[in-house]
Amino acid sequence: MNISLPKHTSSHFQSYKHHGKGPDELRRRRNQYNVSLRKNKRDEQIQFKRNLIGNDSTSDETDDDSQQHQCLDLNEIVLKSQNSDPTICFQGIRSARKVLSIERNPPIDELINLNLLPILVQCLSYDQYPELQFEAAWALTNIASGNSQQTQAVVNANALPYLLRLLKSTDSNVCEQAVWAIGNLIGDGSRLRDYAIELGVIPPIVEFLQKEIPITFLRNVTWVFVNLCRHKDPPLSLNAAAEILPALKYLLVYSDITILVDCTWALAYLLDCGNSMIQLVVESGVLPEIVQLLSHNEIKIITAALRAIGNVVTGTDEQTQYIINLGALNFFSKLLQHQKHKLNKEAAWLLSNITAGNQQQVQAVIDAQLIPDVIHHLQHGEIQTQKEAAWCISNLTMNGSVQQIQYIVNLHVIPPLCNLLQQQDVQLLQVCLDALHNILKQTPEQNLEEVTMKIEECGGLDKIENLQTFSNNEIYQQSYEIIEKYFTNENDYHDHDDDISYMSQVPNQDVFPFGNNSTNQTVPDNNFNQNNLHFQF
Amino acid sequence: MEITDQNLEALSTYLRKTLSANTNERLEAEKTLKQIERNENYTSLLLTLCERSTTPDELRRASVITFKNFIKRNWPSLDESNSISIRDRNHIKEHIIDLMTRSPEYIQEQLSDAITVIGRSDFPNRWGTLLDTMIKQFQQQSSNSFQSINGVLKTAHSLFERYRYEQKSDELWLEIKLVLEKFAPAFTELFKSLMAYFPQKESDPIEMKNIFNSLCVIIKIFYDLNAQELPEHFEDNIDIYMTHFLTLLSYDYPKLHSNNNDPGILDQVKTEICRAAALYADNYSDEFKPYTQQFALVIWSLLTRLDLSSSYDELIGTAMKFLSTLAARSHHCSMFAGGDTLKIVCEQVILPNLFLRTSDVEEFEDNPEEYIRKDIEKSDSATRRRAACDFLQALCIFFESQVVSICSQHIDSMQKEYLQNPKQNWLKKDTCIFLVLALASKGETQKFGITKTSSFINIQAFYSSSILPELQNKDIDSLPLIKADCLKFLIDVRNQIGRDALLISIPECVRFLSSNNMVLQTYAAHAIERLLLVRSSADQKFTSITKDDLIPYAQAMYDNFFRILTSDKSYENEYVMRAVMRVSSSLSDRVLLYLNQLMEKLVMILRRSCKNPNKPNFNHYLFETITVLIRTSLSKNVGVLDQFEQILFPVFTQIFTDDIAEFVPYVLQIIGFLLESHSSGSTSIPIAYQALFQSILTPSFWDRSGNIPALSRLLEAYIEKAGETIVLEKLTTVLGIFQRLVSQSKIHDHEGFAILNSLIIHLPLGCLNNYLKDIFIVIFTRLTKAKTQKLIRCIIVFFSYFTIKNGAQELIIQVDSIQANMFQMVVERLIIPELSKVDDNGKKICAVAVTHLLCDPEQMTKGIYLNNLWLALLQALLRLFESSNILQTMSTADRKKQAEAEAEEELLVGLDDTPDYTPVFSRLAFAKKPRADLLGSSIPDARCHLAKCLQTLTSSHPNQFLNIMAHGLSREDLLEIQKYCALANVTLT
Repeated sequence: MNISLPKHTSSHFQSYKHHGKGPDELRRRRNQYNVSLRKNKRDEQIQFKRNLIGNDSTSDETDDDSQQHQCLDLNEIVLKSQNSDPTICFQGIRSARKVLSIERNPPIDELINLNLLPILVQCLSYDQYPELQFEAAWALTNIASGNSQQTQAVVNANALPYLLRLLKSTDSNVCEQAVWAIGNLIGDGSRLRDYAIELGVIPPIVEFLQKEIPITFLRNVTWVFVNLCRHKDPPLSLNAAAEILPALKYLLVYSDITILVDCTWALAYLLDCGNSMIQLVVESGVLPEIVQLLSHNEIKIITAALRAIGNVVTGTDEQTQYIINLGALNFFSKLLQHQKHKLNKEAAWLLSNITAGNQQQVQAVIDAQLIPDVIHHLQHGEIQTQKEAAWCISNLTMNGSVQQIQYIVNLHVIPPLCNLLQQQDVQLLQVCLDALHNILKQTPEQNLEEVTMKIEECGGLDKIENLQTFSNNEIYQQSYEIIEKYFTNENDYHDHDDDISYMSQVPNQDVFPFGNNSTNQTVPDNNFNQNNLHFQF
Repeated sequence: MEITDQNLEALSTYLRKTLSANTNERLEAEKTLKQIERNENYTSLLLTLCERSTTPDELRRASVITFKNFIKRNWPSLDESNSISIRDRNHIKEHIIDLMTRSPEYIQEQLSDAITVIGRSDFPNRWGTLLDTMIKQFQQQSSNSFQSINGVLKTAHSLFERYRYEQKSDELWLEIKLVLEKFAPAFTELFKSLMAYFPQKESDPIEMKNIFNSLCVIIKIFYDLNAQELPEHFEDNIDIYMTHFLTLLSYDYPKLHSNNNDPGILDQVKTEICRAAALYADNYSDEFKPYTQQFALVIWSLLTRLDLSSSYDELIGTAMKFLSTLAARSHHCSMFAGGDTLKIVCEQVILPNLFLRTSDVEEFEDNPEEYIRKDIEKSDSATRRRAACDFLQALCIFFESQVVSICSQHIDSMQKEYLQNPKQNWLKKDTCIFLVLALASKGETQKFGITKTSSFINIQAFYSSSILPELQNKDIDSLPLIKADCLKFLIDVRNQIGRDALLISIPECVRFLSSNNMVLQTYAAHAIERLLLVRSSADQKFTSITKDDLIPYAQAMYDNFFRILTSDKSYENEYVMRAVMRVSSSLSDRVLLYLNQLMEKLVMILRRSCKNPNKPNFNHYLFETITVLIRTSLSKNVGVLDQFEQILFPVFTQIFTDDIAEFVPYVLQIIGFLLESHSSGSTSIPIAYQALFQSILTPSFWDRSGNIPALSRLLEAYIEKAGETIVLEKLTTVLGIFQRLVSQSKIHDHEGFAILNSLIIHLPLGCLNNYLKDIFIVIFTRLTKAKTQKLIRCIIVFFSYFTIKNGAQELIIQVDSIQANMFQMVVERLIIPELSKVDDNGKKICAVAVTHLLCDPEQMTKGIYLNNLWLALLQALLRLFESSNILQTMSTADRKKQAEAEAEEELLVGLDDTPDYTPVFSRLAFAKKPRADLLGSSIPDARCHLAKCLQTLTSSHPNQFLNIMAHGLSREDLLEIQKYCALANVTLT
């Protein structure tokens, strides 16, 4: 977690003073801040780690019985698993897998402490007993689905090379279980991911796509791709990404919802890793498919595709233009009018990063007839959507041309902007004040009165005046500045800071002296140059 | 300093002396304390003193206050060598919380302030134990009194409050995260235990008060911690909080009510809950959704139970704000849609709070100025009425037609009740009028009143049926508040009711001027003034009410105005003074009928105000009125100038002599205006002006920034009218003023240049020759030291005047004689980048001057300046032409049209809303200076002038300049030049 950010670096405040600020600085990543207070909503819908609940484990026993039974028997299970007799060993491993497959609080730590892991790893190498390999891999999968230490314990037992070996197994069940276990290890974080990549995990995983495997297996494989792409700290290397991208592109031809969702999220994660990664994805040619997914029927898929495309337009002007050229904006009218708030919000966020671009890009948003919808959300949307809509408008005013700004003014953007000035959220206030201030600055003299009147008419002036008593200094200052500049009759003459202090003040005298040496007569003949007078301006 | 009894004794002695009645002793002791405060242990000694219960109360108080002030001054200082030692700092942080909780309330408050200061600078990184110490206090609740918990809570709130308004940042959120992890669980436990505890204590009012004091702060902290984002902890516990909040909202305990006008603690708790609920409803609507309906029901039933006591005002305001939040949101508003909800809300929640209260009525009678301020100047943001009105308007967002129809029934029935028994039911009429305005207004500005109206309300009809009859009531003194409401209604809807309605209203307003009620007088005057500004719907250039409409009432108006302005009560009523100004302006030349009586009274009032000039707006309009009269008179007959001078100069002299700083800038403007109106002929200016001239050159006069704009204008008038006589005698002084303004002020430098330009234009050629070098040095020195865009534009304009007067060649010689080749710098760094940005007034003169710079001087037409500058300067000139419509439209017909437009504009001066007084310098709108075009007749079109000059140039240098242009200029630029040539009817050869 990067917490050493100097104060306000990422705050929007500074930008309003620097009107020429480039779009790269205006564009906002989805997760601009690293600290989160909110509950983790799992809105990504894809789990980091999954355990496999066996549905045969308790089928012949009642719950109470089985738990008691298992607790008592952990020692015995481990003992059996060590037995050199393959049949007994199998029974032991199978029992271990069963207790690990109960839904609540499987005894992971207990079994780790009983030193089960080396035994399980050992079993992975018994190619002559695929069923044993399968049970051991399953047990490992479930141990690795626990917390980070538990996952780490699996790695420490050196399971990964053995699991990788199993990817070549001729037994499809063993392969699939190994894929799953590996997915859990990679899902833990960047470190284990990179370790797995170092051990060569990518090529065998990619190869599965060329084999005839059942769709459920294919889903598991796709999920491993998600885990490979997920972690940002640090992100996946460009080389590894280059290896994966063709696979993702291939997977996008499927119509299976789960595969499409996962695959799109994998891309969305990759696209959140900086402009070089974005470029790599752009060049892989996968994005035209993703743009088309914006019109899919399944909300989960639209959500993922929106996030992916949204991440692209946090990139450079060229990358943003690429998305525009793919015709993405044509889908947005529908997205902005979608009944799901969340899609409205994401769509507005995405557009805000396009209006942060150059005037041509602003014009593309205007030409796609999207501004009326954005303004509608600014007025009536749910608060998070209102915020994104406000960013969208504010960014537009920052970079838009005089005509473009006039366009949104004519669409009555001012009343909803002013309406938001009664909110408490500082960032939102800042964004709305920026927008109003920019509109005022960019309005030609002859139309200014019309704009100031609009602000006053809808009660905006009162609200800006109220903000002058707001506790946040930046808000106070900007509202003060707006009032001073646009709503005060006489705007010249301010006494403070008016002296050119380094010039000598004329001492109080009864008459005004004139000339260089304070005589009342003309200056004696010119010897200024000898006086070292030199003018440079 | 060790902590010994001896040292403590000594410190007590000093502290006691700081309370002494003897000033010297007190100052001495304060000084001594300051001297010893740098010693180690100083703070420990203070805290020890205030901790000891044996210390007398006043000394405990003195020591803790001294401690707090010391902390405030020294703790935030980063330079640790120079302030509190690390050891002392750590010692304080270790003990202060504990000490605070053990102290009596008066010490607790001071310590809490000190903790806040320390926390602001040290928490969280350098005060890791703070939260733990606080939590410990919560957990020891049983052994602690509420007072100590309260102290901790208040301190926590003062530390956390900034989360409400600080900009999101990782640093801030990390701090909040820490607080949430450490503090929030214990905090929630504390809240739960208090909620379980208070029902057991209902028999103990004192304990109940303590508990509710704590609850109140707890809810404030709840808000602090939830303001930035909905934290996981509170989402997990949302049900606990919301359920308890609902319980508290419905809870009643009579002994916790207020017995005066301030809110009681239970109501404060409810107020804070409404605030927090609004935060949730607005920002975390998904999570809040399950509770929305319950909150809405509980809150509106609460609203129906509260009476008119002002101790409930804040609660009612906040509660209605919560409901407004729901009403304005599309995903919440549906709860108002079903059944009779809207009707119940309008009738039981909104309407009762729209009624005026006894206190308002008393204010109308006893403190009319305050009433006016709240009512007409809209300083009513904190009132119940405003809150109810905001709620009503929020409901109208989604339910306008229903709300209007519900309210209309009430408006009708209240009107009827009023008509049946006006004396008894007049408050209902007041509510009706307010309600109609609240429903009808969809947009409002100061300048125009209501600008947009609801399509569901017919304002015009309501005006004629319900307002006008009141205004026409014969008895002007009955029910004055209702009359005032009606006048206010008229003022608000003035742009909505049409000319005929306005005309009928005018005489009624005049009648109310004669009321003895100050609010009525004021509103009547204000109404007249505002009505006169309404523009004609047929032609926006003219006002709806003409001077002929006004004449029948003019005498009566003036009589009433001046009766008020000479009464005892409201003789400095700014609304009335502004009405005098407006009527005088609107009457145009017809005002001359009243000139003598007006001037007599105005001068009398001016003399009176001189004694006590404390109403800036009133004074401002007084001077504006005088200016209107001068302006109108002079437009008819310049001969009356000396009459004004005779009447005004004695008062003006008095103002100068007594040095009434507020009035001097006005007087200077008026004198300037008068002097400008004298003919420029050979006759010398009147002696009075000559006498004044000497004194306006006094430096002390120019020291006041507020005088400078008026002084420089007046000085320019002197230069124009008496340049060759008295000004020439004092030329060095005038130049000294120029020098001071230009070298010492970024704000007034342009006024220095205006004086200089005036000298160049009006003094005979050659008068300035001896001073030119110095003038240029002053300018270039300032430019070198403090360059601004405004300065550059001033310089360009000055150089242009200079060029036109003395020739282009002379300018180059002067500049280059100060420093070799400086002219190149002038062109490259001043003229080229800024030429097209000079003010419209200066554009033409600059265009002509630059034309001459290009075509006349030898220095430009050969050698390095030709190579380096010529083409770029020509391009800059073309940009200048492009930048200005004025320069583009100068055909003879156009000019004639423009002259007509200007003359018309002249007539309309002051037709727009006249600016109020402003603290720094108030320009008199009616003393506006007309625009002058120095070259109006000699060079009608600067573009043709350029074409002609270029023709002369090219023909005397065959091929040379044509080549330069052909190779250097863009196609567009060449086409432009061809266009100019065509206009001028010349060809370049």
